Amino acid sequence: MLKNKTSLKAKNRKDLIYYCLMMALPVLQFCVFWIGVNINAILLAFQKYDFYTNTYTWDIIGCMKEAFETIGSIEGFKWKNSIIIYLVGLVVSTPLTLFFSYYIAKQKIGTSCFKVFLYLPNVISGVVFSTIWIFFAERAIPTYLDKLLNIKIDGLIENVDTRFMAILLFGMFTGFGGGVLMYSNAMSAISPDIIEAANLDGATGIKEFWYITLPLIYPTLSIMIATGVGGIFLSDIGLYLYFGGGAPAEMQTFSYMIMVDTLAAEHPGDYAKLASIGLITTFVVAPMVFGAKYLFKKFGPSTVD
Amino acid sequence: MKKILKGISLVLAATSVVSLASCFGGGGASNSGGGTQSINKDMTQLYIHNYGGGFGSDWLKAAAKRFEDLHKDDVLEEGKKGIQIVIDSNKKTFAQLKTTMLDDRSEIYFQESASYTQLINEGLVLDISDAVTDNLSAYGDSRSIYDKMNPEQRAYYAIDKNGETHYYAIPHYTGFFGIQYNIDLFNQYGYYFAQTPVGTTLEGKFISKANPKKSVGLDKVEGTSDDGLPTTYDEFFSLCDFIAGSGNVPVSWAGETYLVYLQLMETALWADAEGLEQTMLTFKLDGQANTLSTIQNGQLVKDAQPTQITADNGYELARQAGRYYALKFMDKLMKTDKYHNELCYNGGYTFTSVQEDFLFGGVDGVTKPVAMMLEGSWWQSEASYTFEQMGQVYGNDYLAKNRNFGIMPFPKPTAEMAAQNTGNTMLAAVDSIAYIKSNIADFKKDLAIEFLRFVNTDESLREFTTITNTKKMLDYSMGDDINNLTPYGRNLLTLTAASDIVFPMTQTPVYINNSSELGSIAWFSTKYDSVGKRDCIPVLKETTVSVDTIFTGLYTYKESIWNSIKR
Repeated sequence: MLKNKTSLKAKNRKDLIYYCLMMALPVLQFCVFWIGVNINAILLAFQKYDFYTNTYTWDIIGCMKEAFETIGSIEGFKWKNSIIIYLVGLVVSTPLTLFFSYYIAKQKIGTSCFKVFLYLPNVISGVVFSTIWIFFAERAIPTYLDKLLNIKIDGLIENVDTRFMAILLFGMFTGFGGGVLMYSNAMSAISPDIIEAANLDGATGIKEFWYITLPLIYPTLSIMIATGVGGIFLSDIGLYLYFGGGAPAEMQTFSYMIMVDTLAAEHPGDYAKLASIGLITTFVVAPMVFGAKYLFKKFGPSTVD
Repeated sequence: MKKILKGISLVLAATSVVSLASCFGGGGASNSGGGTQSINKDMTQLYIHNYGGGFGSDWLKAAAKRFEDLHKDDVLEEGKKGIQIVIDSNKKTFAQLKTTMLDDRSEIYFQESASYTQLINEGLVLDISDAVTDNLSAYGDSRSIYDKMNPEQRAYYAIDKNGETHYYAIPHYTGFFGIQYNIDLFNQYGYYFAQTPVGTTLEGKFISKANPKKSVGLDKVEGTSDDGLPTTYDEFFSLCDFIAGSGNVPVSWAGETYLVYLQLMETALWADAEGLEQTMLTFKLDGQANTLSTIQNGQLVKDAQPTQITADNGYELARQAGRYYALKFMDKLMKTDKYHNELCYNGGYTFTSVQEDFLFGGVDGVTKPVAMMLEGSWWQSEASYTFEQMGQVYGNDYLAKNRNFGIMPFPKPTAEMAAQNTGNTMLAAVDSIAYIKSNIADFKKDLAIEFLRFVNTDESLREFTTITNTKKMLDYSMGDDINNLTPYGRNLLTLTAASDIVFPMTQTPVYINNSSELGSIAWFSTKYDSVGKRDCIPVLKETTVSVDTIFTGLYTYKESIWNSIKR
């Protein structure tokens, strides 16, 4: 008995050592590249940098004031674009993603084909995929229309009237893969017994989806939507891939503006200002996300804890 | 099963450790350019990073070979004899290089758009004062690198520390953006203004078999390379009308990068219209501004009195007349469809496509001839593969050395300005410098400094120009070597030699602390409605807002942000 206890302890110790060794690198990476970077950014948010003398000075009030002024001076259309992109994602992309996920989970005709097309943007580099789309939208489509139907049009991105929609739709398409993966997995985890019981009760197709599948994947759905609220500040539909730092003013979003300013930053002083803005937006987004999560929990299906 | 899983996870962990190790130190993944060069363990290596942009690295390989021959008997390390130069050529930006420079194996850097001030402030560069100030007599050169710099460069690169002057980098190459034109096509179709126009028709303005004498051009001297070329903006657009009427494409530019290219074009036009002294005010923020203007009753009206510019009122420079003229030119060029290629705003029309159309036009029987191309002077190096292809397919007559291209001197905004014969002003569109990293091994310091001196001897400078067909940002004469350049290279050198060159370099603290808002392109941000800051090029392209409004908006925007400019 004592020998068994001792060998069990030794085995547990070995397992523990193995576990610690395996986790050491990811934990270290998390500490350095997430905790360390964010702490550094928070500290930078309260400092000013003089490039000429290479000195940092603390100026909490000054930095926050400048950041608020900068946020206040951001043009309204950038917020409008950010909200539009978020709402399109929420109102159009999410239902479509749920539909594709349900279709894939049900193993309907063409499921494999769907999977390939939906996951492809997540497999191929975003830069490559966007470049393919640019050439397709700008050269291929106008050429096909001209040669086949004798219709002359400008490139879809070149044309001011079609540009935003062309980029938005492509952005939606490339965004399906991650959501489909999450939702289809959650749907696949639903016990077949429940599905069978529901089918026996006459709940098939849309009814099954609405009354059985959706409530049972509600935790996944609510987390995805709640955390997606921060997307208002993060959405830019890949504008940089199309236009570099020179996206047309009317198409720009808050996130794009921050990205371009970060890339254009020539010295630490520019980063300090951006860090201040980032900190302020964090204080705005965090309550929104927690609030959304609370609302989802409060008003969600009662059968789901 | 558990053991198998443990084994797999151990293998994965080991793989990640190996890949991590390769990220650090010499010979790592960040030095991929040197991967094709095998290291000779019997020699001492000198590692050099070269920005692999339009000018390539052939010039560096040629210089490296001569340097290696010169030092083939040097012993710097025990058991090793001779020097091997290992070149890492890639397109890493300065921002990418800076973070790993002290850990990378590269010791000498030839880099574009590097921040001289940042390199010094962060202790990344070696003091190379001796390399700059000592003469190069060991190489038969009576001058030093300092002697080859112009006054602006000497002021810029000289850093005062405790009453002593130090240098930490050396000017490398520059490039100019402008109107590249196909001289062969111009000759074939007679796209030159006649000295004596015939009649009042458009065709009558240009040379013909009956009227072959070209106008004297901007320099007013007959028999020079600018004969027959447009001297004013109006003449330029008449030329475009003429070219379009003959069925060819007047001007082309890359749709993929139209924003950047047209921004470079508008700043180049502005600098030429303003001249060297007035253009430099933008970077120095100190001096007398003579061309400030406002729009009154739809007319550009120059201020009655000059304005003294300081860091406090620098925003007034947004009212320079040259900006108005540049906007007028761009407005007409961009909005008149017959003046440019139909793909000039198409994201799928790359700069290589433009160069190919420019070179193949009228040759391959399919592509429409293109008379002019908005590009940088680096275009011929970038198109070297296309030239080689054409040579193989169409014969040696189509190689770069046998085709005639040139860079057109900018016409002047008005006939009055053209008559003043103020000469050309060219704005340096790219800047690059050479430097040595601060933590180079002690025993290699002298060697690295010697290499920098070596590549800046007159012989090396001429070799650089012969290979790249562009000039380094130093003073030197090509002598007979000019005959080894392509016709485009000769044309470019002739024009730059006859022009004032604007190097946007200054140690003015205000400029350095706010370079993102005070750079040449940043001065063309406008604000005329509630939308806020806009760049002029998209406004010209996509709106019907008048140039007058845009020009006034330049001042409005600059004035609105001037308080936040750090002084």
